[in-house]
Amino acid sequence: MKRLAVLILSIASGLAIAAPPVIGTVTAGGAFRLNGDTVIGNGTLTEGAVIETGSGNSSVRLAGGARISLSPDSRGKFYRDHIILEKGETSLENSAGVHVEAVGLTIRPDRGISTARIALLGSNRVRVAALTGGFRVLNVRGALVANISAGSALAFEPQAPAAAAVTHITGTLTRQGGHFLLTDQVTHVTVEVTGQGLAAHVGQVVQVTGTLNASATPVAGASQVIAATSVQTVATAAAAGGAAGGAAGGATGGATGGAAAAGAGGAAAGVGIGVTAIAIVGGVAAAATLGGLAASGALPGQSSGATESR
Amino acid sequence: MTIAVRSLLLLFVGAVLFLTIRLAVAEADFRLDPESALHSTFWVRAANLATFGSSPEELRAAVRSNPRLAPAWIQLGLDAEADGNLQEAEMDLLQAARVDHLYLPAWTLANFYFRRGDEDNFWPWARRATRLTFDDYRPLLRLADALDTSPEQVAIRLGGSAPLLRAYLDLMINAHRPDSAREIARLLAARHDPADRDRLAAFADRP
Repeated sequence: MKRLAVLILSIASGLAIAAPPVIGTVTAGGAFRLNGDTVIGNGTLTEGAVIETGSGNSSVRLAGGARISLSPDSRGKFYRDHIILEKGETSLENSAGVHVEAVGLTIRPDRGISTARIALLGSNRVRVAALTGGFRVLNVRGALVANISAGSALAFEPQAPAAAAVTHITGTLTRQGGHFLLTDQVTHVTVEVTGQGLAAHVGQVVQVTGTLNASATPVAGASQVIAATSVQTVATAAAAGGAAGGAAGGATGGATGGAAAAGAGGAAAGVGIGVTAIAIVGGVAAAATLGGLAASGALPGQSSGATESR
Repeated sequence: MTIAVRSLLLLFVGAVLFLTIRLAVAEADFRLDPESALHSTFWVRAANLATFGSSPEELRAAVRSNPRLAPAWIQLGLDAEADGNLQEAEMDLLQAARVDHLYLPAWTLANFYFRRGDEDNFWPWARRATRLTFDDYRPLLRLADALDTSPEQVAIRLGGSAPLLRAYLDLMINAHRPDSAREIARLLAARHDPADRDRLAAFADRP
């Protein structure tokens, strides 16, 4: 903490004198591109600076204390409080008040010391592997799409605007003071479900398809209200066993995974490596990668050289 | 092939193999315990393996074993700056410049003083870096241009060489700053270099 505070003061003192808004420094083992120019070794970042790596990685330190690594063959736009990942992969090594934006999604750390690896998979998919601390993923309208806990990895693909309100989630339906709640097994997002015949499904693992009711205020503990158009029982509470908690961690959720994958259609292709279950929340398809962090290549020893040995 | 030649060849291959393995062991030792590198007969080579991604401990050990290791001094300086130890940062970066008279230390110091808003120290190092630049002047020009509102002054302070002026003119044109570009074009024209005729004519013809 002291290190961060000193860093903030240090760069802030520079800011007070220097005319341009300096937001941090970038370091690399060789050449990289900064705002389109070829730069050797290191450089100064100003608001909106674009860094593009070549064969090596670059390490960025922002004024707020955040430390971010940009993997080889990656590109990102850097601001004081966020990074827009345009290509490749980035690692938040000390997120300190910084969030990442990719394919229109906002990936926000729960705590300052959260670390994660975020990689673009093609033009419309992003994979988030939380290493330490949790992360929240928000869609373009700021609605919660997923909670990613440390040690798990999810892949996301925003759906076409026409399907933006569609929600497709699976979990155990519970009742709380007359309201029906469901925490999705993949995204760990808790929603309030409204609709007919829900009472009969309480305690069961159900697959809910519906639309977001943006005008409704969710009950405490839920992030949004979903008007259900279809509720299917996947398993009774007794039969569900450990399936409820297993999906996001990488274990196959049995019937849950299969049914969800079928319902979500082509979104399975978005994951690239392996899929256990798919959810669609807030118009964004989310899938747990098989094997969690191991599949994402984010475990120690799997690094492609993108992280520093500090 | 005579036996003597074969023997020499085998000896050479064996020596290369031995050195390769020995260096790999030295590197592994250095990674595990930087201090151990000091006791290795190959410590200088092992210490040279310290990169910008090395830990501060590795970097310190590296510069102790090889004080002429400018990249390590630079990284130590940048780390110290990030930690708020500005005096230490400056000393490390100046040390890098003392042992390495090439571009990188000068560029790094120019950036350091730019971040600090220290114009008095920025300009000499920026000018030195400009002299040592072999391809892209734009990063330096962007820094300098951000510190001084007069492009003419920037050009003069950075030495005003023809390649610099050409790069500066292109930069101003691309940045849609015609007034600034005009100032630089005037300086370039004053050099009466036939090589600039087409460039200046094209600029003059711009709407």
